[in-house]
Amino acid sequence: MVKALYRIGIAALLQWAAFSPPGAFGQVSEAEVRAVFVVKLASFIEQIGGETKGDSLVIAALGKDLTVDFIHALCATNASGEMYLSCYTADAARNIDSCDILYISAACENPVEAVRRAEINNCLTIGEEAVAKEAKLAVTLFTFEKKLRLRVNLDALERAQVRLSARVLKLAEIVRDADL
Amino acid sequence: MDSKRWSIFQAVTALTLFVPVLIYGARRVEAQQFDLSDLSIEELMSIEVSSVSKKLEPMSDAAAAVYVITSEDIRRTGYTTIPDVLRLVPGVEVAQVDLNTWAISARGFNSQMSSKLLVMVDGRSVYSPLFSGVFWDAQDMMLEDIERIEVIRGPGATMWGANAVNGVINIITKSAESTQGGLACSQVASSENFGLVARYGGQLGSNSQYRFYVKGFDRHMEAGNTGPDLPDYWSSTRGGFRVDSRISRKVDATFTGGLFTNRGQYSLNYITLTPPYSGLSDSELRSDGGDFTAKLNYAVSSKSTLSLMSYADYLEHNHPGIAEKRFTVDVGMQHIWSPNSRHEVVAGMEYRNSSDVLTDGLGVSTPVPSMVSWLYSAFAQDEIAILPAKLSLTLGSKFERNFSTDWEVQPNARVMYVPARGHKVWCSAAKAVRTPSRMEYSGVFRLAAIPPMSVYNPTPLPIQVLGVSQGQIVSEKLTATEVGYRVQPHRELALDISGYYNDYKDIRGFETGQTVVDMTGPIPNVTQYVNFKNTNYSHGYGGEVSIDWKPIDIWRLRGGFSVLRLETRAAVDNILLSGVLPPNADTVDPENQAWLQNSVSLPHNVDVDFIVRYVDHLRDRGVASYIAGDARVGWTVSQGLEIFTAAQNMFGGKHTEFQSDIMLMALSRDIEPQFLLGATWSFGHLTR
Repeated sequence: MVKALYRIGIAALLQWAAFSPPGAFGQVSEAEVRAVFVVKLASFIEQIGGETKGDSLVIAALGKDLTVDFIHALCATNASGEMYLSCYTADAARNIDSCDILYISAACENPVEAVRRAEINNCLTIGEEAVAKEAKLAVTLFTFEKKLRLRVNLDALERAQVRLSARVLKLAEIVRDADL
Repeated sequence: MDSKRWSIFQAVTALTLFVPVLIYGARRVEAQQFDLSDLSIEELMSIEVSSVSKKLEPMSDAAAAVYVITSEDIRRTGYTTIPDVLRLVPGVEVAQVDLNTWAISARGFNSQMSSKLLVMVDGRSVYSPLFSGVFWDAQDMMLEDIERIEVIRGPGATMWGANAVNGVINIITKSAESTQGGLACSQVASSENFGLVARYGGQLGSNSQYRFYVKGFDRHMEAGNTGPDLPDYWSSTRGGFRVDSRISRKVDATFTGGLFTNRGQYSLNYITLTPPYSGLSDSELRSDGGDFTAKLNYAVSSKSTLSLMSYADYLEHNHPGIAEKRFTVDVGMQHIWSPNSRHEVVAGMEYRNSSDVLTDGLGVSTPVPSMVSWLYSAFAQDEIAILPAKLSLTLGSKFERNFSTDWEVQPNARVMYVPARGHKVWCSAAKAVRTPSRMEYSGVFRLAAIPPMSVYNPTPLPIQVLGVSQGQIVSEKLTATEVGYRVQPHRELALDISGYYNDYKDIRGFETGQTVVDMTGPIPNVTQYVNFKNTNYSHGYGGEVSIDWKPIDIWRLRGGFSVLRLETRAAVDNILLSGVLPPNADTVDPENQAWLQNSVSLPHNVDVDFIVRYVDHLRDRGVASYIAGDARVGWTVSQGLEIFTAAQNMFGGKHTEFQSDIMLMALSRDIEPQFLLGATWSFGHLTR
């Protein structure tokens, strides 16, 4: 009886999943959402002094993960709207050139040095919680109850001489270095 | 396993392995119709994302066999007790004896009171000095509060002290900040089981957070084909709190506490001097207790942190064999600092005082009903970066003085080499000791009764064998050598391999003592005293492999395999002892164990997990090998509400997992399949 019920349950689950109607998927890949968010964020960056970014934007990625793969895919399809996007991946902090956004994956080495270099170049640093505390990132992406959340470090923004628009700050948890 | 069971096993495994592939295919098709780039940042933050886990855990930098179980891992197993969760750690043996008793060990010597495994909860030792071991029924904390469980196989004595011989289990709970809001979880299960958990966390001023919880359950198990012909039960109520406070930018404090009361069935065999020379006791096991811990962290500088910790623990454990009331107080400090870029030093000291009052029970007594035991210790360890990011050496030692064996020194040396990115090779050599238990130090055990005119007793009087301590017992000693290799070729795949050789000396055994003929008592008998003495020695070797693979974003496979060979030899001085008390009468281990967990995140916020476990037979104990399957399906109906169902111990039907050869241990029962239905509701959470 128990075994039969179990088999029926598994079979039903399989059928249900396989024949779900299009659009029934309530969830999408976390990495994909992060990547789109990183690219979208480009439209909300301002230099101190009020300048908005020009019509081209460079995203650098340090390390390799699924989010980085999706960022590359988005750059290839130029998915940010009006801006021209280019992106590259660096395997070490010393290989980071000029960029507007630096995405730091959890798998990277020496994130502290990477952030230091990025801040000198007025670059916005974004990454996961795993490296946020050590590297003092400007924007930290994390997931809470299966939804993307972001934390903005005002001290890091000041160091990089970068501003984020009020629309982004309204969605974020605001912190300082000492809170990380 | 018979062919029918094997067919079911194959069918279910194949199905669950194909599910993610089908789903992934379906998702790829659908992804073409759903462009995330069209969404605003607000919309991106409102859609639910799927990830079996955010990422694979980064490879540990520790030169030791470490395995970490996260909060999410625990949730997805569907397990309801910590011992069940530990089944998924390679190299750890978990056997359920009855509803509230487990035998748990690492790398051998498994018994109901496994003496060589240290267990800590947030830095508080829950290892009982009475028989040397852990009362797992007293550690049934709220699983939702656990941040992670770190299991270190192999000696950890330099950092953790005596009794961390074959392993250390560190249970680390979540901060109050990360458990804000409310949570309620209720579940019903087969065999009239019912459980309820409730927790609430909030803010205390601007710099402090709190949470408190209550947990209660009532579990029943029918009498099986083996073991006592009585239903088993376990009911428990407990509650606790945690407060985290940031006193200043450099100082934070944590206070935790809890109270519990347990009632359960406990069946054991005890010795009698009249035929059939043993009796069966079915009585209630009652345990009550509480604990309070205070911890203070002071960030002296960016390179130096000082921690002070103190805890008090009260336990009243009314075991039918002997009743115990114990009060323990512990004070310790630890300092971590980096004098320069190549050194990270950890040093600390600790004092513990434990007083007890014992009441004699069935077959166990003590001439010293009340005793105060103590220990103080100091340790230091330096991690030296010989070649930064390439080669490191860790040297350290613990110096401990205790009331029973005086000074113990437990050094270790560990080397970690990183030949290339994603590859780590380590090796270590360490010494550790297991100090005598309270009852080995001053206890009297009625171990066996030998009928008259039998193989071991040609006399016309029954012989009772009494184990006693004559103050000659010293610590058991281990010299361990380990090697390990971790590789993470890319972010989605990790492999961890470790091997070890353990050389044990001074393992507790028995030595023939006095023989006394008692013709004056109500039952004339011969009493053969055997003295606890460190007569035995052992050696063991083996290895563990664990793999973690996330081939696609919604699918994760994890598995583990362990092999163990352990041999114990005794310097037996008496033919009677060799027959009646074999050297490993109270311990027994499976030689091979394996498990595989398949985790899939399906559409509509449905999580499916399936676990298959194999445990080898227990040699000479008549416990057969078994394959068991566990499954969980969880559906997040809306934000904060999850409904789940789980099944445990499928495939094998009823089976026995452990059997002890000595009296006074809980009698093993058939472990039966269990089905469970529950719901978890969380509400009013703050930002994370």
